[in-house]
Amino acid sequence: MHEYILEMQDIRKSFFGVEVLHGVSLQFKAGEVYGLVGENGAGKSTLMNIIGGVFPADSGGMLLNGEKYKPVTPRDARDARIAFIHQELNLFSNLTVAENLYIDQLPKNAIQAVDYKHMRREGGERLKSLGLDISPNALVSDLPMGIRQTVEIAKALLMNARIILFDEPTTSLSQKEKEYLFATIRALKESGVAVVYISHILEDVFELCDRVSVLRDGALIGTRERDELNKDDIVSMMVGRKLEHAYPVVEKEIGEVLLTVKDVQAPPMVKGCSLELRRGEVLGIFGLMGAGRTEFVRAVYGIDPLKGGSILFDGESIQKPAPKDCISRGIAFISEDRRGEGLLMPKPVDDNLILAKIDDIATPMMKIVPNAVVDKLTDISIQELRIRVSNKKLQMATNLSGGNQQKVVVGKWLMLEPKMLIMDEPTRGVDVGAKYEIYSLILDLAKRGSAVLCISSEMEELMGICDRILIMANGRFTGEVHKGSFDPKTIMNYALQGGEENG
Amino acid sequence: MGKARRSPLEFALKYGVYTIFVVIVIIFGLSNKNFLSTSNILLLLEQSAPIMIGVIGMTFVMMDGGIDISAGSNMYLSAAVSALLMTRMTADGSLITSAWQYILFMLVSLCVGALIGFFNGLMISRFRIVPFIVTLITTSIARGLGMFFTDMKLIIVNNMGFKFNDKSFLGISLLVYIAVALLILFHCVLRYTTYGCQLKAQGNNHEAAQKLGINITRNTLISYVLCGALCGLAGIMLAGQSGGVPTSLAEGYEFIIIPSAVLGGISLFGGKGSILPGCIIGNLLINTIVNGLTMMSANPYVYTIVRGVIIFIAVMVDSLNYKGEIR
Amino acid sequence: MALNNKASYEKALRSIRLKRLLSDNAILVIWVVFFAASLLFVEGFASAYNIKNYLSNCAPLLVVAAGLTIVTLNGGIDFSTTSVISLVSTITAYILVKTALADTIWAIIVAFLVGLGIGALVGVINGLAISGLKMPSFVATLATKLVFSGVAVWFGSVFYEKVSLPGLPAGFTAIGGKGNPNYWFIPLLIALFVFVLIEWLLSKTVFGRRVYAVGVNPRTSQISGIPVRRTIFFEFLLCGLLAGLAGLMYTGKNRAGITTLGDDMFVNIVGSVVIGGTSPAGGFGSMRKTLYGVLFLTLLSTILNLLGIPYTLYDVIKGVFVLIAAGLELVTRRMNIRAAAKAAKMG
Repeated sequence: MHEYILEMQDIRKSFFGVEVLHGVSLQFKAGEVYGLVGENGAGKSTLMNIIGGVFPADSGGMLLNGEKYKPVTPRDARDARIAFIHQELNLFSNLTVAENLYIDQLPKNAIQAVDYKHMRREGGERLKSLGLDISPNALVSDLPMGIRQTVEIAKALLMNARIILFDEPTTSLSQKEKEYLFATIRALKESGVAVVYISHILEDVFELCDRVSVLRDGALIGTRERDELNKDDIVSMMVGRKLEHAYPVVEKEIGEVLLTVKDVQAPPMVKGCSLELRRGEVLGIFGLMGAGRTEFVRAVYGIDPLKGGSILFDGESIQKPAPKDCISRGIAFISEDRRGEGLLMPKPVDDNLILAKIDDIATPMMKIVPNAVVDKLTDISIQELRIRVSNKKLQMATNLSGGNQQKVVVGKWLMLEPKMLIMDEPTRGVDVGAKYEIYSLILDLAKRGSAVLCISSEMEELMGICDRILIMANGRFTGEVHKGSFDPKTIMNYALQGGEENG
Repeated sequence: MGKARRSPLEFALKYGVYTIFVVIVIIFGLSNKNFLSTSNILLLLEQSAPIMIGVIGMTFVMMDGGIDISAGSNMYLSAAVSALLMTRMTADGSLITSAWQYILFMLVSLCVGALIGFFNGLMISRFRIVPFIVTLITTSIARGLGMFFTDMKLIIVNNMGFKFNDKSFLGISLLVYIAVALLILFHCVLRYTTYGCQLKAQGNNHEAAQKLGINITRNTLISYVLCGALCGLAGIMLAGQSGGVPTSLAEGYEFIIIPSAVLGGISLFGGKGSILPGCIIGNLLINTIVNGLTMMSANPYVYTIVRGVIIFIAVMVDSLNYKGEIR
Repeated sequence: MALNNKASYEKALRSIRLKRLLSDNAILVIWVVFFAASLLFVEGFASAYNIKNYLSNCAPLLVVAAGLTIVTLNGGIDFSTTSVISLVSTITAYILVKTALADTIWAIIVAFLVGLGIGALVGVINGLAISGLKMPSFVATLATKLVFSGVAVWFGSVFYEKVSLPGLPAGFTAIGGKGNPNYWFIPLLIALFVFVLIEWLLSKTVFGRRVYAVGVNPRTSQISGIPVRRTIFFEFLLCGLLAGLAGLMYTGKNRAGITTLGDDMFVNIVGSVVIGGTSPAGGFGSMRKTLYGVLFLTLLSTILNLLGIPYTLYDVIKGVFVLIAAGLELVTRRMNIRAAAKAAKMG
């Protein structure tokens, strides 16, 4: 038995001729939870992908239990009993739970045919032994999202992995599911499995990990043992400077009511929600996963159908909201899915920035878009938002970092000077530095008299920038707290209410 | 949560096809007394057999979310090459009689088809060109090559001894037995092999399949090769059935094969459906309609229109069930 | 160090621009080479008659390919264009020759209107099926193609004695450059007008920007306030209208109504779009590229014809070119993105 189950030695990796990992060495012990933190683009995911066999390293080597380990495909990693739980779900909704559990290594019977009976029986037993009450015959498309995540984890546990890599596993989990996951991870650790845990949520990392390493710009900055963990220390290692304030302070005035929503329904997730939003106000909506926050704002903006209730915006009633109509009234919407719903990924930055503005700047009769105006507006936007882009016509949104991508999305909407901005998880996957800048932009917009509605699953973030927080649970608002009396415990209690009512 | 509600449309698609089938059989049966005669039913089965083999191939391609428009031309080129070989081998006046010769010519046709399928699959899986463009182009390439090789002449295979009309067992054509055997075989391939299961999975979510280490490129390639090979086989069977290889052999058969699969519950969007009974029911329905129209001596141009309408309706129902992006 | 970086960054940018210029105009360069070579080496090419013929073959193809370009930019396809051409030919010839209106100016006016109307009708059906019922365009338009080419042949079988109906008045055939030797430039003018109009529409107007945006990502587009369904609907409507216009031009050119006129044209139409470099997956390409594609593909047909290559191989050769072009389009686009990523890291 070696001291380290997996050693990475001087790993280097380049993409398109640019080195993103500059010789990283890490050692993982069996029976240990190892935390890996760093800003976006620091190289954590690249490192995990190399262990998981998604792509090979350019140089450097890995030792698995003292033996050379050189995976070329994810299959090699699986054969070495290394499991990789990705950020997004990798399930097939057209298959059953049992089929999903075994899809990459289907059991065969005597005549070499896929053994469905075995899958159902064994899979069912394993699910039960993990304490999961899921039928192995259930179609994944019939399961709610949280359960799907646990199926994904069950899949990793099923292969008796000795190393399990978790890449941001909690993004779509509720508090309860998260606690369950943590308990599972601790149990794995007890049984001698090496766990590598990547997360943006430092609190989770501190709670769970025995050792934490910080990566920055593709290099290892430092490693801390559990007893010497310190948040300020880690954060300053991550950003390379001491962070003065996590949230900007902006003096602003709150004006008259701009938006009145009464008893909005969008079944099955939204069961009657009412709120009032004033000019200059930043209103947060907090709720656990599955509370219906996203569904609520999507219904108000008209992406998903609205099935009841009334919306009064700026003195006018909106009967049947639709994105185009909302935009012309001065409402903007930032989706939680930046790549899928916020950007045109393979298109240049300027095309992305001007996208929502083309109707406004077009000539009235012929609907011609004047290129000079596009140029001017996008230049201003790039300057004001400090979007790090070297050539807006040649650089595609794909080529930008997460933070800069989000700034492009924000820039697109700020160009319209919206009266109200709806944001769903505005800083998900955004690094610490860019987060601060995005908060400043939001608060400046509010200072100019616009209203902001902000959804987030990071409570601290909402407490940092909001004037008021509404808490949502089980499709309804269950509580309201005002700035000055923000208290994590109160908020969490409200957030848990709906669940109890239901259960 | 439990079982999610199935949409009424999905229900209609699942059982509606059977209902329509029964209704149509009754209508044709009442309006023409010969329609339900044993000989007509056997004829119908025999006519459906080669196309059904094409539908099996198309099922694999569609399971992956792809499409193969070149199916008809593939049948023609494969049959043409095999028939040309026949003319060479019977140049001395001998006739094709032994079973081995039959198997040889069927294998040749199958291999030519597989080659076309391999080409399609390579362009689609490796070079990532959209399937309908690639297979559209191979459609014209294959038919052009076939017409070039045959000098645009009709090759009569019956006179060389290659014919299926006299091959039957218990009164049922040999073609039907071949089709049934292949249906069962490929039903098992799709359901009971790793390839089949993973194909169904990747048709649902390519990205996830790739991350799990499923070789999606290889699976896609295999699907097109299978589809090509089965179309090649179907081609020579059509030739043996109709007596020759005209330049118009199997022209437009993709428009029977694709809607047959869709009517059988195999989604154009991938990952849905199965060979049994999917491949049978849709195809029988379409062939019944065509057969019935023939017996009612309708204007032959109306067939094209009817086929178009059938595709339109079948795909419309499939699309209404699909909650994705439009293209 | 910083200076050095700046210089290498500038260099990278220059190389990206050069590569892009080359990949954008590759087909034009190849066309020039082919054209020059044909002038020198292909017997019978360098004659006024042949060049006139070449250009008049390009004209209607450019018109119908223009429509398909718009649809292709959205990642869609319209198979029904060929059936529109057949149906327009069949019906307009009937109006011009066999109805009570025959031999009057009204016949010509009605024929034009009906031709465009048929195109618009098919476009509307396609548009509704694809944007409203969310059917994939490649099967929806396959279905409409079958239906309308079936209608054309059926109409011919009932109302014509043969598959074609000749004897169209010169006032009508002018649109195809026939009826008077001096009319040859008329289809060229129409094609030029269509080219300028669509190029302008795609590159300068709100509609054009919407087409590209929806082609890349319909969901982002919808959330950013673009009426996605309406955009897709108009794409197919335009495509149908242009196919109708091309149908009139082809009918005039052939001086007869032919019930199967469009049948073998689709490889040429889609080939022009794809060879030009418009991505069949959507979002990338332009009308200008389609012009290059039309010029090149028609040139290829002309050369093959003059060289006496068997007719049966035309589509085979063209098909090979189309597939090569489609592959190259993907490769160059990936290269461009990589180069931009590299430059971004330097900047």
